[in-house]
Amino acid sequence: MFERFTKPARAVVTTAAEDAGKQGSTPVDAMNLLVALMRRGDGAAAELIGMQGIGPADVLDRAEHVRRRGGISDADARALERFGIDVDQVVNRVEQEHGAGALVSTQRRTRKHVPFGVDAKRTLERCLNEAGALGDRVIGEEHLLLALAGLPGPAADVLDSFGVEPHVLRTALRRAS
Amino acid sequence: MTEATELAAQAGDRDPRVGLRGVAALRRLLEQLEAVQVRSARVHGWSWQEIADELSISRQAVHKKHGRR
Repeated sequence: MFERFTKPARAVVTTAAEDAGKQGSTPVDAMNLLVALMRRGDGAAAELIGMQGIGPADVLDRAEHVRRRGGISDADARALERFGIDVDQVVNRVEQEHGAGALVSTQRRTRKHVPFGVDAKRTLERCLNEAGALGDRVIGEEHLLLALAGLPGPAADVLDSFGVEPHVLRTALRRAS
Repeated sequence: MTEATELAAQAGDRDPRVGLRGVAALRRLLEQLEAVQVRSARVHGWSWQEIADELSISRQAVHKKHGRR
């Protein structure tokens, strides 16, 4: 499916897989893709974010905050509060017992073959739809960003917390083309 | 809180989207907690079988998920 991806977009996917390999036993997820996308400061996605007046570094900071909390976004935390679960308290207890950053598991050895999780797969599939809807034949970083913003989950929550919603991105892309 | 916002808040409480999101988040949190606890058990010298017994899953399942570290 990657034959239609641009070189930078492929590089983002590779970086996301490498990052996931350095983390715990979890597969590549949407957050890995978002972080890889934002780390390429000169990329099309970072540029698109910048056009909204948002720095990629700020997005990365918030993504890191979510990661330290075991992949729980602020919106997730509010939803869990409805169940009577205080995520920050859970994280505090775990960190007291197992050390700071305990929920950000790291591998002693970097895994070579990291499977893609359901959300990452769905993100990549959604890129094709997003590109199709915009009439683009090639899939670039901007389509990855658009797909990430549109699929419910912590990565979309991080983008949403900056006001980066799919329709905002689509409007910006149409204007630019 | 006015009557209208109270009603809206109550409707929000029953919003399936929020409930489902909570479940998805809980699952994610559970995975992380499991990883932390399994790692801790291994550091304490537990065998994969002992860990599997406590988690009520097969030894193969635990090892496949958390092994090679």
